[in-house]
Amino acid sequence: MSDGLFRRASIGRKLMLIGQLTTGFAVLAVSIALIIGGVLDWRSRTVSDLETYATMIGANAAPAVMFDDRKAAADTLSALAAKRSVTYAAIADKAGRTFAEYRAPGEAAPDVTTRLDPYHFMMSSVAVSRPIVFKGERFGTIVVQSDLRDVFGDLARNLTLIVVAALIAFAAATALFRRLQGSIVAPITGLARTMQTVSTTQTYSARVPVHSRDEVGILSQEFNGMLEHIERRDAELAQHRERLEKEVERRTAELSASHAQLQRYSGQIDLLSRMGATLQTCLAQDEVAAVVGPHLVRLLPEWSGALYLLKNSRNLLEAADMWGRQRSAQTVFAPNDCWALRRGLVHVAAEALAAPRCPHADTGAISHVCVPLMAQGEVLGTLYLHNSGPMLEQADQGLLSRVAGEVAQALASLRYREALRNMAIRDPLTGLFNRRYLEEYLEMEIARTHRKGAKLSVVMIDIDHFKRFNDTFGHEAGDAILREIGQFLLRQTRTGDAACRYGGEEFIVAMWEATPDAALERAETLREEVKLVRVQAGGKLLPPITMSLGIAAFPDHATLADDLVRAADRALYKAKFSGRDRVCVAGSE
Amino acid sequence: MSLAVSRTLRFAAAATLLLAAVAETGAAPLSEYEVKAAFIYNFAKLVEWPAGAIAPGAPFRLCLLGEDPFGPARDVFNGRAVDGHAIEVRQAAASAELKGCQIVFVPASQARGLRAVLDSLRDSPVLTVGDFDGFAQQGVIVNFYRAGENVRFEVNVDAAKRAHLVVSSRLLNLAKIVHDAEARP
Repeated sequence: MSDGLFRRASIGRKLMLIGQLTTGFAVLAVSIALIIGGVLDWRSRTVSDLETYATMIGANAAPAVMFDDRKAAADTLSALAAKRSVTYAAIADKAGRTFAEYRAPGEAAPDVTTRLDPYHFMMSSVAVSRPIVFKGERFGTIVVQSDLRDVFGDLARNLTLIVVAALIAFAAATALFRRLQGSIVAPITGLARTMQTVSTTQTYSARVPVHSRDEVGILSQEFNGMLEHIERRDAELAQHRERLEKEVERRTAELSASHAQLQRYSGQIDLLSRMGATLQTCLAQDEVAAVVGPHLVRLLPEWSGALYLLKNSRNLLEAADMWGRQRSAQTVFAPNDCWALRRGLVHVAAEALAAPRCPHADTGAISHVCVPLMAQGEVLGTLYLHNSGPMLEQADQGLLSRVAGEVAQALASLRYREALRNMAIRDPLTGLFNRRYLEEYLEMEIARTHRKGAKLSVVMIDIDHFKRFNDTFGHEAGDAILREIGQFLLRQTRTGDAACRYGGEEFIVAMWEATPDAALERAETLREEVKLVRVQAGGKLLPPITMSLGIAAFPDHATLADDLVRAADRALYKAKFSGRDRVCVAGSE
Repeated sequence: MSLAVSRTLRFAAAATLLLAAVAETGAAPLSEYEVKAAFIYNFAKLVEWPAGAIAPGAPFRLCLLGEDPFGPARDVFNGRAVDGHAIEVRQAAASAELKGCQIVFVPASQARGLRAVLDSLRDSPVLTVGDFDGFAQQGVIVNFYRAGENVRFEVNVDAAKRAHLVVSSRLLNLAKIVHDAEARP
């Protein structure tokens, strides 16, 4: 059997083979030993038998040889006839000459010589030669040849017995091995099969049955232990992997969320900066309001809202713009109705929060946010957002704060710009336009009026006996009168008209698209109404004030602004001259 | 020649090297007296002398009465011994000289004085060996005779008994047994 073949054979076959080989060799060795022993024994016995015969016959024949008695010697030899196996015997004298012979009946020529070793084996016979000695002296040699065929028969029988015994022993050993081998191989086969199952199907839950406490048993047990270990580790691994997958999923979601968030932020920041840039260029509050709404719709699409601005009166907030799907019903509310304005902080009201809802908030809104619009500590208005969904996110709150900041900044700068402008064109004491503004106004309005073919009237006013007020009640009283008249004139003028302090106690009210008659009518009203104005100074009520008024109209009395004012001045002079507290129209003298 | 080869050769030759073939290639046949000398020597081996017949250290004496018929055949005895006693061949002219001999050879020429010789040796442990027909009957213990070409011998058991010698049965087996003539009426 070649080494490769042996190696490929199963353990059972190997064990079987080992057993068979071992037993075979043992049986063979024993058989050979028995045979060799038998043969040796048989040889020594045969030789010793023959030697005995030869010695006996030799001793008996010795005298015959001594006395050269061939007949007697032959007679002695013939005694060997009793021994059937002896086929030939001979006696030689000292010189080696044949002295006497014996031949078994029917035997062919002898094949021995007296010059042999003490014994000599041939094909089918053995010859023994013994010296014939008498009293220490050698007289000749006797040779006895024996046929071995009978002995061979015995030998063959013995051999057959040995072979049969050996075969029986071998067969018995093989059968025994086959039985014993099962007890060794079956667990190994079981182990191998389980291992195969495990390795092909990856089912680590399999277990090898443990039958014995021998090495295979230990192997099986250890294998089971290993499987358990693997199984446990697999489970841990699976758990770990699951955790990892979840973690990755979570992180991915976070990442994509934050990515989306980032994108949104970047969009928002973009929008915000564009809104900021746009707001910078706004020249009026309504322009600001028009910019805020569309931007907030895009920044926070889920939210509807409104921009409420505090009126100059500071007692009301008015909606400057509204946007979104759910328009707010509130257009006007008092500052106290807004928590953000009260606290000066962003106010977030939602179902989930304990914060109170602003009274001005829409009843349909589930959550709402109010951001106060403030600049230099001054309240400008409220940015209001509401939603029927969840509350505003923290990030969006920040965004909203920034929008509010931008809006407040824009509003503040508008106001600042207006204040600056006011400082240039208004009289600080009365709040009326100053003389420079009037000149610009008249230039612009005369041109416009001229294009339209309309009329423009200028009413010049002077407080009667103002010097006397000053002298009697002090300068503070004079200032108070001037302030009150300023307010009175502001109240009485239409939008588009310009009320100015022309200088000292002189005022001009420019009335656009007003005929001289209309102007006269309104001037009369002013003259009457001013008497109702009550001015207090130093805790004392001053006497009623009267005014003198002069009217000039474009293009009736003058076509240039200067001429127009001069004409009105002349008319005023006429009114003063005519006794004060009256109205005169230019060119009517 | 190595042992193995010689062994092989001997095996091969075994069937052809016949005993007879070897035997036939021997030396020339022995002379009559050579045979007789050998016989006498062999007699000495097959006959037992009474104890004390030969003094320790003394030679075994073979005495030839009268003439010496052996001649060169006497060499047969050279260097030989019987029971540890070296054989000494001595010639005796008269029976008176036979004292101290263990074997006395009586040739045919002594036939006339045989009686006297035997008488002188009466009751002595001496083996007498004769070489003439009828000697045995007359009292010689062993006597040669011819049977064809072969030398044979006869033994007078009575004479042996008288001489206190014990003759081996094996010698007797080969011998013709005779008795005293006068003892048989």
